[in-house]
Amino acid sequence: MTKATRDISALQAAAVLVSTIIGVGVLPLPLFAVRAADTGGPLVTLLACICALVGLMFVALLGMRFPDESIIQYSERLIGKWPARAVGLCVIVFFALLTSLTAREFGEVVVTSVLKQTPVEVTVIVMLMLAAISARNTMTTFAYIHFFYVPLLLVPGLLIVALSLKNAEPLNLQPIWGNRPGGMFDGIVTIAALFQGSFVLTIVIPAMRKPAKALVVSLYSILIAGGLYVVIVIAVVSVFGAEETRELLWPTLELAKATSLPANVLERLDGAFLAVWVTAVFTTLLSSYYLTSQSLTQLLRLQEPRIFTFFLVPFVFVIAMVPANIVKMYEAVVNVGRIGLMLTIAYPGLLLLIAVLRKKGGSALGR
Amino acid sequence: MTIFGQGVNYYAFSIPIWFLGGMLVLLVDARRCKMAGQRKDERFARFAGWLNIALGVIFLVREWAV
Amino acid sequence: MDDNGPRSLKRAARLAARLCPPLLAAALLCGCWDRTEIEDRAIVLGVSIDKARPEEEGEEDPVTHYVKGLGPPASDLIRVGVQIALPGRIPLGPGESGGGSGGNDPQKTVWVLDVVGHSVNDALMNLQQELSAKLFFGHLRVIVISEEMARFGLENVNDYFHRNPEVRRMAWMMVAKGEALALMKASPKLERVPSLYLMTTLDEGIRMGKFPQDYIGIFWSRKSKLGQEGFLPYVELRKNQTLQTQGLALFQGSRMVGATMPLDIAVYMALKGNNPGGYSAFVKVRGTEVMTHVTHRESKTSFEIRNGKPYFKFKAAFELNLEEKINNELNIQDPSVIRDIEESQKKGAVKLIESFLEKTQALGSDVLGLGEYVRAKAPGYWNRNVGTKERWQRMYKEIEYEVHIDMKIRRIGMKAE
Repeated sequence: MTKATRDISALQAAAVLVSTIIGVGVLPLPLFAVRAADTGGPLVTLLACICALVGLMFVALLGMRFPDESIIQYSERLIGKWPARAVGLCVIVFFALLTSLTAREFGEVVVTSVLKQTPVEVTVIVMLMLAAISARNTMTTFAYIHFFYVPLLLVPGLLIVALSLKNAEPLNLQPIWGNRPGGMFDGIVTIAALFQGSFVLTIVIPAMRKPAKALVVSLYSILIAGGLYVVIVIAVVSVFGAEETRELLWPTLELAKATSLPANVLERLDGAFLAVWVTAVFTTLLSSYYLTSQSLTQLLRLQEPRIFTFFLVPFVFVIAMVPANIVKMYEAVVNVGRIGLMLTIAYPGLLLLIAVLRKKGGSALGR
Repeated sequence: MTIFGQGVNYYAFSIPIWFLGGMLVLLVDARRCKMAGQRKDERFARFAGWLNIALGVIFLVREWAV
Repeated sequence: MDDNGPRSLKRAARLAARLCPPLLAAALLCGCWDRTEIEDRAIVLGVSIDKARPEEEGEEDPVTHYVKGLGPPASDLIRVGVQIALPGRIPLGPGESGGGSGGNDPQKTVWVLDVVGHSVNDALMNLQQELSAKLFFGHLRVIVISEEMARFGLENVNDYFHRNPEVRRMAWMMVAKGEALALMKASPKLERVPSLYLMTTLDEGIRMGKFPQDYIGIFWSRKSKLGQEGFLPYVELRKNQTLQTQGLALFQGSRMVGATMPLDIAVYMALKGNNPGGYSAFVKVRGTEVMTHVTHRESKTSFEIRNGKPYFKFKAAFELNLEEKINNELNIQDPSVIRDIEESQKKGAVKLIESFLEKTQALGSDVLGLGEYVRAKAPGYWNRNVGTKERWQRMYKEIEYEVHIDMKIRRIGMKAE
């Protein structure tokens, strides 16, 4: 990444975050929410959004203090070279894992619901290659790709939600805190983990025209992406009811299946929804892949992040194929996500605290 | 290790990917770095490319042996 | 790339040229795994499921299990019938005579097959073993279950169709009085495709106010809820090959426990406030009868906890049209007559509602979802005293209620008196 290009506007940065956050997680999201607190699912999702927002704001504030660097670089100045490198490596490994699990989750959905004869490996490889090739672009192109796809994700998503609401029953959403809200905390953590792609903000800030806007950007992007998440959970739970949602592996896909366009133009929208969702997965994969290769370059003090794009593909693919079945895969998704929260929320929080205490970094408003 | 154990698994597909990835790194990225005069990057790219190919060979041997 | 000058461009081009043949070969030689020609698909439009006698086991092919004792016991034997669309025989437009000799004879647009198996999938696998085309459920519209099967329990049936990603949630599931396979074989004259006729009967029923929305997806949602039971249309094939909706098949969990009368559908829809109204009823007034037709309904259900039990209040309002008189004795122009009709129908409605609730209470089948009100509005009470579906099924038998009805006759047709 060249330091000279600082041409990403706040709007583009927000687009990057929104399309990164909206990803594979959309499909099982209502299931996670309902498992945590049955009818309290929407509330759990909302709380998870707030949790994710806090984490993202840490990253944004850090970025505003060190507007020319990413977390890999400024952490060395804050907590010392070797501890920072060790954690930095963890972050990179985590995002590589996240990339492979995303690709695998995608493959599993496709092989279950659409292309039943196609080997899951092929779907995963195609998606990974696509991400790898796209990750060879510069930051500017990267931002443009996201900016281009955002409306394609939001509009059909909201349309399906709006169309499905005609079958909604308000009773299904009550009580809003759920009948058995015991798993609330677990649910919040699991769902907050779906937002972790937003960590890509740390490499977007050094390319932003006005890094001081990072905080506003993070606020709006969580508002949009989190808003869509909450709306999806509300729609699914109000249409199916909490208990039925619990029986569905991908409730959002089932919602699209149960929704038809007015006048039966299309009797089931799952095909259309999956097409949109492929794009959503692609942008998410692209971001985590991009973050991994950029961070590796910075960690190893190289200049050319493109070395890593093809180099990483087989590694990510092999990791993606480790879970033996879909149940183990979701177990891995949940567990990896939770551990990742330590890296994407707790670690930036800690860094920010140290930066404030040690009065390191410039004032955000200086620029 | 169980993940590399016997039985139906998904790793066969990784063999061409290891070789393809390694070759692309060597042929595209290493050359570009050389031309750009980035010595360190070039050395790393060569290492990365050969690492990929070596791992590809290991997976290939494994496919035969198991 | 361009910042490296023309030399690198040339190299890149050479590399691309070198890579092209293998990539092209890879793309072209693999083919597409999921390519299926439409002729290679057996499009299933309808499925029927009957209970089979254990002695019919001999008819079953050991396709999924050949060791005795590896499958479920012979008592679980079912007979699955499928209605498959014959490619090229389904008429596409109204004017078309249905390409080929098929014409209007429903028997020639579809092919009805039946097999025996221990479970739905087992039976379908037995069928697949003798069929050249792959069974495809993406256009499945109707699943007919025999009453015997429904009373035996639908857990396996629900599981199979829930799990299968091709099945749409907008398909209909219905319980047939008698043999379900007969409905697959029926040849109604109105539609050229028998399954579509079954579907249209119920879809139009929704539009005419004869039946509430109860697609398979809705049934599943209701069945899953803690404070509600599902129901399915209870139908019978009549002698002139038509489908008559006989009432609601009441379920408890996945097992059918009873059936209602046709007019109970109206009661259900009234208590749910479903519109439009579609049923007519006789009303006794001043020693003679008139018939009225419900056009619009509104309802409200509320409850309070009284003596540690939920106590429900149903309020329902109806708008009516007068449709016929049996003789000339009444003067409709007299407002007091209209008031009497309303009064009399109100009493009748209360009686109907009470008998409906009594019946569902006796069966422990809360099709109205009263438990859901308690769960949603009084979560504290629910968690302390109910908590599970089984306990609500028990408590439902003991709940008390009151009914308030408001009847308004709005129109009397084109005749003045």
